[in-house]
Amino acid sequence: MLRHALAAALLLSIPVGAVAQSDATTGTQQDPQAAYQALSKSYAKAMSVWQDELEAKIKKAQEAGERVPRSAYAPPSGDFVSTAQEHAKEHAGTDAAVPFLGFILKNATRERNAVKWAVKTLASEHVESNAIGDVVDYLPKVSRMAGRTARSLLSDVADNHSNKTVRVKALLARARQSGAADKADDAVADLEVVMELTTDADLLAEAKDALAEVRKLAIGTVAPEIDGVDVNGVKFKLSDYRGKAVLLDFWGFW
Amino acid sequence: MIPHERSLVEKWKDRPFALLGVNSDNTSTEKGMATYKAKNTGDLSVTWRSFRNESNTPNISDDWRVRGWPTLYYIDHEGVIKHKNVRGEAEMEEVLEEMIAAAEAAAKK
Repeated sequence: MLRHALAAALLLSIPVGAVAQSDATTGTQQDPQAAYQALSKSYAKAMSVWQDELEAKIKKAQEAGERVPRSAYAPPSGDFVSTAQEHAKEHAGTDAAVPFLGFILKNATRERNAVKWAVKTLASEHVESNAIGDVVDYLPKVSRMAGRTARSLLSDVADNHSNKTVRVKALLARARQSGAADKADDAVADLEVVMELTTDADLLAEAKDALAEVRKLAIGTVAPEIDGVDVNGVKFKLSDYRGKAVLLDFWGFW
Repeated sequence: MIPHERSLVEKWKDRPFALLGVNSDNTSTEKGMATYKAKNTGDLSVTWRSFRNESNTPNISDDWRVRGWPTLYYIDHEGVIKHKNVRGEAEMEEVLEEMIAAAEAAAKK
């Protein structure tokens, strides 16, 4: 029953694809920006419905001492990704397609083929556009579904794009990806290029924060202070141990 | 893990070395403390000091971007991070021996 209710809710909340298609056949295309906003909005709504449903299912299962089926944990991204794909095809080759391709990267959870197609389309048709700057942030997100092509597209934009601001956005995204993978040197190198390329205050501030964050725990930097209490509640500090070689072990009996 | 670490504490007790933990057992709660005390015995005896992970906001492990347990940081006598996550027992002893020697050399100056 729940499943049907959810499906109905999803159908009701995504008239976008259908509208756009019928408009296309009559020659009056829906404004792509409005279509994108409608799609994002209905997806946000479906996600919140899904989350509420999931919470209810978990609660019910806990009370009954049962397990929640794995499928319940899958977000309802499929229909929305398909709709985004239709819009992207409708506007193929133009900047209007890019936000829809970005939507796929941002929101796909297991739609591997759509993600691969979106990355490939961005790489073959939009790599030189300025619009790609708005979606490069999502490329690291799809590393599981389209790792190699997404990485090479991100690097292509970060290293070669003719528009500085677009390059900077790609460099910031790549630095975040390197930082998360503990490749501090790569992240620092990208962030230093960002500082050279841009004078935009927001982007500079983002780069500085990212640099401080990456450097904070890098090998060769001074460890951050820990000022806490021991398991018995007695205060002490990491710096109390200066002069000694310290092995700091994050552990638990569990 | 714990028996080897205990042997390191014993082995280097007269040299400039400290093993410090950041413990995630929630020992500020009664339940956490009970678990900690129940397990902290015999082969799993912990003879060194640990921070309570949750004694800081954010948790110390979040501030240190810990994504898996156990995570190891090797910090020299000047507070500089020298290595991360060296886990093999022989490699651990090798890098620590070098760091302890450096701490001793610095103390003599």
